[in-house]
Amino acid sequence: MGFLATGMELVADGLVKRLGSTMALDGVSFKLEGRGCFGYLGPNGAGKTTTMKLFTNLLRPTRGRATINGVDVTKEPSVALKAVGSLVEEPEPYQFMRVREFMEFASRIRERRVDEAEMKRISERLDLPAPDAICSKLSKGLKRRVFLAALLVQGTDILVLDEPTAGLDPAESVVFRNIVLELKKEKLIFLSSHLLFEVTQVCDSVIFLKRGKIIETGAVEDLTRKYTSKALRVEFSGRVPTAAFDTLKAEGVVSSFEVEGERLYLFRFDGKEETRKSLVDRLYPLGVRNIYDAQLGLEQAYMELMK
Amino acid sequence: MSFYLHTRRFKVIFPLYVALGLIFPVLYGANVLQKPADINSYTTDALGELVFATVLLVGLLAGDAISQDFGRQGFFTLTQPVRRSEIMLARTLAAFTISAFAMVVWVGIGLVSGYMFYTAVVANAALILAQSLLLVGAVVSFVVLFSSLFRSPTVSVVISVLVVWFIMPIITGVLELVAVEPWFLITYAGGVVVNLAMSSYPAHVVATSASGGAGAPTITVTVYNPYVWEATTIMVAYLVVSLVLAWLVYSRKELTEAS
Repeated sequence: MGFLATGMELVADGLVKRLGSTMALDGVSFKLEGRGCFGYLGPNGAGKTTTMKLFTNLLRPTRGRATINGVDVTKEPSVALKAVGSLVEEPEPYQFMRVREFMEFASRIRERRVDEAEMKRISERLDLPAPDAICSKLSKGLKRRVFLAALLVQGTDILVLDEPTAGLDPAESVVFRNIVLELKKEKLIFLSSHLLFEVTQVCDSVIFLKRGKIIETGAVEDLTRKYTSKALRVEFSGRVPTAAFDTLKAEGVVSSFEVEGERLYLFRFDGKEETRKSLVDRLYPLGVRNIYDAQLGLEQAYMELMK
Repeated sequence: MSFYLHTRRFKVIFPLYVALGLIFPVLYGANVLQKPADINSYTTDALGELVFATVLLVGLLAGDAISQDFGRQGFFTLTQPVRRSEIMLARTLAAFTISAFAMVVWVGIGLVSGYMFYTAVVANAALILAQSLLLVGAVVSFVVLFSSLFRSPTVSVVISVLVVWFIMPIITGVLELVAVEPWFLITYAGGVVVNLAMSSYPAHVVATSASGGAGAPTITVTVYNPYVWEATTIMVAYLVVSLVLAWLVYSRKELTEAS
């Protein structure tokens, strides 16, 4: 997976992580390279956060390696993490530190000097609280924004974001997504999320994870096409008895059908071209007004993969 | 270090600690108590509670030095490109600096007030100060070790204080009854600070027998005083071993979930 190679690289090489009796990750391997936003999708407990923690030295793999630009995160964390800014779970800022102080501290850790203009731009963009506000007294959403601001001032080439919009209100989420869309032009962003529409909007490629294993990967467009092609939405010009569709199902032409409106139906099939042709040939005599690929996109892919 | 200066703990504990250090100088200064005959006896009184007060101070201040990283703060700190050994060293030094500052204030009060009353300073003043600093270093390291073992800052503070303030003195008391030298306790080694203030360094073993009367059993209490070299060795051992163990624990600990 990847676009232009720029020395930004995250590699999971057979990652296995056992947490107590639970196999949180079971041989996960992938390579993310170059600029772009890579989504990491899966239900709760799939292993998304565990993966993120392995890439940020919060956990050590039971087996396998997580490398950043070729450097093993477990063996040389202080070198590997130089390229990575991360927002994993719900971090808490240092007690007593003020917003401005925290941002300066975050940039100093990366040996980066942020000028007044950049600091002001970031503050305005994220609508940060007053610079002298004490971080630990801020609301959950405001703390989140302060951490996002810290990520921006750190200016790393790679961002690891674990459900970054959790705790943000809708307006804040929109601001955040716009920032990701802008940042992905020059950075590698590895983003986990439950929100399919968010991933569709900001990610270029997606990895689907289920029970600690990768079950599908690909570009968002390809996956959308692949899974979309497995359903047809048909609008009939008049009422059609559903008995006709039961026959299609009994004959194995469709796997299922759903009534979506008085004359609107969704037919799911195996995605093969000959099945599609056969289905269309069988439906037209029933009085089709419109027929088109169902635009279910990633949601459809997600639902099918997580079955 | 600014972390400690901002904590409510420090704002409450430091004035109390200084107030404890001022008790004898103020009582002697105000002639509520009769002044001891010489500077050594005075300094011994002035520094009498130093060890236990310092141990409590360090436990309360540094008890969460490392455990705070295994809460949600760690999601930021531990994901930065900084070695854990550096983080631990920085935290230990900060805890040491703030504790040493408080301890120097107490020792300073004892020495300066002694000079004011007797126009003299105990002969071992420099050694007292050096041993006090070593004691603070050893206790800080020991507390940092506890701090690396527990995820909850509150638990680590409470356990640290319990161990150094209650459990160790209880063990010392029991060992005095069975005449065993508590050479493995930091609180035993810390006794060197007060011993050095005495006009003559006390004997290593002092056994005192007491009887309730005719026919009553005799109880013998054996008090051990550490040699200076012995106390120094114990404190250095605590300092080094605790730091190494704390580092081993801290460098391998995972943040599975925040407390």
